[in-house]
Amino acid sequence: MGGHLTRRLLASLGLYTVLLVLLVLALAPFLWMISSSLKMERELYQYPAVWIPARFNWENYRKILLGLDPMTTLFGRQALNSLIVSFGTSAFGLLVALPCAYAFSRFQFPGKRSMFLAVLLQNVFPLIAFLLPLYFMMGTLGLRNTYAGLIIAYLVFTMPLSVWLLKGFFDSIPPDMERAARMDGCTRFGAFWRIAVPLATPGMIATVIYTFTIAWNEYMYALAMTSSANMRVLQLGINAFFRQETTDWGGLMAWAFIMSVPIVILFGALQKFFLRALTAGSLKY
Amino acid sequence: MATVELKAVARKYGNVTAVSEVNLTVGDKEFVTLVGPSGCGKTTLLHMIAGLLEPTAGEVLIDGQVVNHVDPKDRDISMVFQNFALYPLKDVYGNLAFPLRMRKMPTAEIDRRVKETAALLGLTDLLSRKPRELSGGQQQRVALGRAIVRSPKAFLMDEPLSNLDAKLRVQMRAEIKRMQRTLGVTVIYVTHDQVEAMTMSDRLVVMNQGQVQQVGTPQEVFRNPVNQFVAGFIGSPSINLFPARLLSDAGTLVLSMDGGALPIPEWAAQQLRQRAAGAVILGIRPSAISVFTSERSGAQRCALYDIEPTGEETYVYITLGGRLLVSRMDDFPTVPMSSAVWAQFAVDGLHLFHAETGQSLLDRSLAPAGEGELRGPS
Repeated sequence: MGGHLTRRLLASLGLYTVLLVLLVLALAPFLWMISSSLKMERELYQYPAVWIPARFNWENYRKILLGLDPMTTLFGRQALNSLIVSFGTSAFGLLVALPCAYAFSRFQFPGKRSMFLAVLLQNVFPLIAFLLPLYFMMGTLGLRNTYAGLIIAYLVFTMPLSVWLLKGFFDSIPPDMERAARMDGCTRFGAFWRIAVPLATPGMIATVIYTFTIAWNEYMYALAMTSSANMRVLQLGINAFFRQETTDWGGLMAWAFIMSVPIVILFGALQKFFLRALTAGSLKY
Repeated sequence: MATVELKAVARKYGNVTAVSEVNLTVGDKEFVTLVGPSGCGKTTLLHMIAGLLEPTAGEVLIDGQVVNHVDPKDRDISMVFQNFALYPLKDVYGNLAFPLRMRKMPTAEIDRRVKETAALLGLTDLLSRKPRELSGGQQQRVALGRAIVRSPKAFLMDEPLSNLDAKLRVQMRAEIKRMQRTLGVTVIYVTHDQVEAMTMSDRLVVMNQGQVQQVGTPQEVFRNPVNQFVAGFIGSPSINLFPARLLSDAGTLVLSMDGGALPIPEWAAQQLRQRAAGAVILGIRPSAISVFTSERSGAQRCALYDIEPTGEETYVYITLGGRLLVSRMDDFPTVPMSSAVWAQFAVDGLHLFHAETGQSLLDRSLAPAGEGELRGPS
């Protein structure tokens, strides 16, 4: 008995040690970012490093949020741009991926297999491979330096995974459930909309989190597709902190922290819903 | 209520024929079962009646109206599915109310109907539960309730009992049958379970490989199967089938088989008079074979293979001329394996099939309902 108990204790101790190490690895940069954003200039370079500043310096946040620094006066505009592009990518992504995934899951049509493979194959190429073609296409379409241009570019590379993810969810819903709905008075579309789509909620949330995060953090396309300062998104705003002679680390860290807030909120808000949706759908239909 | 009529209905997938040329009329308030092994096309046929699939040929008529291009929702028939297909995000009330809400019924009327149906099926206390919080039997009742709540013209049921355990299945069998009689509704039922088909239906439609083999009452199909497939599919344990030869012995017809010979009764002999002697397939139901432990006249000597007591009755397996046969006895003494036993065939229980086509050679409706056929299917 005693040996058994000790073994179990040791096992959980080992498990928690591993978890703790992972937690530290994941959180340390984040905490360092917060810490640095609150330090006075000289504390930033202090050795040995301090984690908790002697006095919290809110100046970095004040100058960003109130637009006091001439370099960061566009914060509000850029935050708005980021939100528009990220929400746009998520919303349009869902709008296109949902019926697309459903069609791949439910319907038989010629070329279905190869089309689905083609969708997935796109993920094999590095993102930069699409940069130039998309850049010129957007130029031709007059969509360069517009929200639509950036959203379409993001849709190009988030769509494959979104479709694949949602198809998996639709595959797990028995077709008889939609047949039942059609017998009960739904049209073919009604069965999709009222029965299949709500059951794919966990998949939709996962898709939204994925596309939103990609659009929110992506740098390269954002840089290439936009040219005027007031069309820039937040992730490009960071550039303003790299100045001619110096780098404003404190300001940069504050900017980065502010940028991470919506993502944290998104995860936090949707996680609860995500879990609930998962358990609601876990009925062995 | 309604009649359902199928005129040469067929369904093809590319070159594969799932259902070929089915003609069938289901009368008002009738309980008709499509029965056959899996893959025989019975569910495909049901989906075509439901409108979930369009026939590639032929016509589906409901109450005399061709409905080939009518949406399922506008056919006013309801369906119960094998896996129940309850809406997992809605509670029992929501599931029952859904077909009524889709029909834009006033809320008060919906409430009244849902509660009435729930009371009928003993679901009143479960209305706020989600499907996953219900037992299999309760889920089954909700599925039935969702089908009856809107009083449709007809019910389609696709293997509604096969997800339930054996005991519940027998109970729900009776419940569905009673419900059908009480409500006076037309039911088209699909199953691969011949016992279900026999016990519940007014008429059976036996299907195999996309084709209707036989349509008839359970007794007709059991007593007078049109071919070897139907004879083998209906009845439990299965009919004994083995090759035999039809011989004419000085004007009297005899059946000769490995290990013995059988006389042919007069009613059968009359029907066989035109036939040339030759190979046939002999069929004999387990209930038409009696096995004895001592010799008696007219009985064939064979070897005991196995005894399966089920409590109610006993299945006695014997070998005759190297073939395994089963007999159904009320009781059987315990004797050692492989001992010699004597099997008596009730000749009025004889079935004969064409050796190549498998078609029945006898119209058994002319046979006396005599020994061996008295005990019907279980």
